Amino acid sequence: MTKIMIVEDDPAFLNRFCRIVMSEPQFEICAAVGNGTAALETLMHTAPDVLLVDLDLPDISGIDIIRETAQRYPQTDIMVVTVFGDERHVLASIEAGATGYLLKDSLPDEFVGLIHQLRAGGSPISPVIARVLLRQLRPGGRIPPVDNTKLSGREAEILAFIAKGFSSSEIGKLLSISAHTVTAHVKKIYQKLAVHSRGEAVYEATKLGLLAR
Amino acid sequence: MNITSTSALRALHIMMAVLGLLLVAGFCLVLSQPAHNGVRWARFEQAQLCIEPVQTARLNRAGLLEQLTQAPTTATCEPRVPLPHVARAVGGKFVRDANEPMQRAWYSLQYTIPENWRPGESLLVYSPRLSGLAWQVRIGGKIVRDNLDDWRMTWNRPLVARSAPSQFAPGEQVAIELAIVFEPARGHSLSRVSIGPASTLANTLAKRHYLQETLPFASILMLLAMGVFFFGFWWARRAEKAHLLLTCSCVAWSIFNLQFVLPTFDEARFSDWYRGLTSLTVPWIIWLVYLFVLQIDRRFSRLFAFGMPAYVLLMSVLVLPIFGLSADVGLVYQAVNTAVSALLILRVFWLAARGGSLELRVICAAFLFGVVAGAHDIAVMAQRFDPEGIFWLPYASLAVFGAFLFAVQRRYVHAIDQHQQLSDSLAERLAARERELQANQQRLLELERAHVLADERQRLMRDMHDGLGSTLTASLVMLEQGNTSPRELENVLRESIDDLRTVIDSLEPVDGELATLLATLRFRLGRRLEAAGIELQWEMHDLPPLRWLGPPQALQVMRIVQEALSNILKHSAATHVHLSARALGTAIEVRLTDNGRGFDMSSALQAGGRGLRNLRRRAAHLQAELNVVSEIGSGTTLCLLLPVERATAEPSSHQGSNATLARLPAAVS
Repeated sequence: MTKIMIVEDDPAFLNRFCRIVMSEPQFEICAAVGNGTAALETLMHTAPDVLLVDLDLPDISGIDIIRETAQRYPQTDIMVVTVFGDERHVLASIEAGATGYLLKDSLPDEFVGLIHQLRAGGSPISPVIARVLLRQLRPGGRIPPVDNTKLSGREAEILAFIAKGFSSSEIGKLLSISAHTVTAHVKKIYQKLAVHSRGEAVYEATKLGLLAR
Repeated sequence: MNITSTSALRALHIMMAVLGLLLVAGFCLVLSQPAHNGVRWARFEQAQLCIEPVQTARLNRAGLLEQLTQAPTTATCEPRVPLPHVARAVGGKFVRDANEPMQRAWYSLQYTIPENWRPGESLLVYSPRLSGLAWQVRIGGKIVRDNLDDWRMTWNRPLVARSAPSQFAPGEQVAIELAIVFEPARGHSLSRVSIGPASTLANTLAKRHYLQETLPFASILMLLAMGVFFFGFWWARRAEKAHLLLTCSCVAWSIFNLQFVLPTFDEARFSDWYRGLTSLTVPWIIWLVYLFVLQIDRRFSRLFAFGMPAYVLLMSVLVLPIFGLSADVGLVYQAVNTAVSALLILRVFWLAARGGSLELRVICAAFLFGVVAGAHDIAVMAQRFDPEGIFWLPYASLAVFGAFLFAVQRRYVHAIDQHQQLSDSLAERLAARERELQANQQRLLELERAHVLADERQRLMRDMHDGLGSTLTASLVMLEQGNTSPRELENVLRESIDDLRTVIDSLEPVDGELATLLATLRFRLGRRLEAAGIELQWEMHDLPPLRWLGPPQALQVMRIVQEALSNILKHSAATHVHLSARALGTAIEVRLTDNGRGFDMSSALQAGGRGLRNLRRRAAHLQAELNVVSEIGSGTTLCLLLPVERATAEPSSHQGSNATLARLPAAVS
């Protein structure tokens, strides 16, 4: 069973997410809270397998909850729930420690599918984010250098394909690997970004305007 | 400046003034010291003069010595002639007659040793000026001194003769005889004779020596130093001809002044050249000086411009001992020069009177002194005037050069002032310009901000109108009609959110990467196609970046492809879609092909064809080419050709902001 914790301040959405999660027999809800303070309190004594968190909470920034969770429970998969899945919010979450994200209006089976994918060790990624990561983790140049310490050649290759719109399965075919391996690579890249930016997390978040509210 | 330094400066000024006064007073005291105390030495204002013919001999030291020491012959004597005595030339000629007999003049004086004569004192005979060929002094019948070693300088050296220290008895009568050899054609002269103990006359002698030789010699050195100085200036700035003229004048005038101090040669052929060379400097000096004045005052005169060089050349040739007549033209030569200088000075005066500068007036005054000095010296040489005086021309040279220095100094000061003013005003203008520029920059920034704001508002309006606005309105109408299933409503709302998401996606930074833009579209819609059972084939080649692809343009591209895809979803019943993007020369081709049922192009256009027209309009906005080919039963192909470089700015619909920009240049200038 996968223990899932949901943090969402809008009761309607909270309700929707709970229903979707409960519809899947392999999932169980371990906590569902409506604000950041309650979320942090719950996290003191509960270790969820998956955390679904809204960024736009009334009291505490979702980013802080992500960071707290990522530090306390490194095994927990953190998923951000956003309206638009835009670069700004997604990148800030990944840097804080999230490895996946969901759109609020996702269809239920999409929703469940993404959680499964994440549990299986793969992460979703959009072309824009792939492109930004490619730039951020490997400054200068389109072709990845072999001895890159930040991003392996394979990872950079995958990011470049994603930025050009190829799907995981297409990339898998092109590189003779499975589609799952492609998403696993993406998850690894996210983790690299989080480690890379942990030192400058506060700076980054401030820069993105997420802490100064 | 603070109080202490001001008072310190004032004290310094007072000290300097006191020092200056002391110096002036000291000099006055020294100069006013009586040159002689009348008691102890005697000045003779008359003497006995005997003229006797002597044998004609060669005009050199040996010949003159022979004539001076010849035994007396028949002499005509006058017992008392007044001193200074001038025996003027008789029947002067320009060309020397080598065989003309010479004469010897004997001046005899009786000096009575005064009562208070100190034993061991020398007796000194002094006469400030005499003319003739050479002289000899005898005291008590013994030859004491002659000037044969520099006899050619007789004209500008005092007569000084000193007896050996000897025991004269007070009251003793001592006979003093002065012999002067001369040519009757040129006459001779002798000024008053002072006789007394050497110690009492030393001061008088020193003063005369200083004025007659030391100062003129100093003037030569000064002129040469000035010449070097001006030459340095000219060397650094060749364009300034004035400095070269001054250098040449300095050198010429120092050569001219040489003749007052340096001994000439015994032999005539050297002496003639020496005198010729020193004399020929005079017309040159006059010419150079005139040219310098021209530099100060550029009013031009043809007469002087061509007359002066001719005059200089003529005089230079005449004065050199080439034609044999030069040695004796001295006085005439100097007179001509003086006349030309006088003419020149008239012209300079005329220039100065008609709006000349202060420099020109000062130079005028110095010139006047120069001409007066020249005339004075000629008069002295001609034994017409001031028989005991010194020559003034060396002093005139200093005066004229003082005036030139003044002119040059004024020029420099003026130039420095001008430069100062120029840099001041330049700095001021620069500051003003900078302020102006800053103001313009500010204005430009504000206009730009206003423009961006207007642009953004227009864009938002258009987006809302095209997408979200129309979809929401449509759903409202559907709800009002009451025949809407929740399923339909859900679809409409999803479409609205999709559209909103597209707008937001268009704002993501893609840096002109069309591939990423299309990829984003696939990322959003791919699952929808999948759900509809449509297989999407993705063919993405390497594409050149589109520099013009900003958010508004990105949105247009996305809308075109999105609309095409949603048309396929809604109407085509296709099972396969192929999207490809590749570089085609100067364009990027985006091709979307489906295997759906297709449609009849002509009827689609006839039936309003809003969808198709909409796509065309969007493409036109991007300056892109859009082609749709469809046939019933064989699918549809949409081909979008995007230019890699766009020639002009987007044909924009916001005229207002463009008008603002168009006004900009006028505001800046």
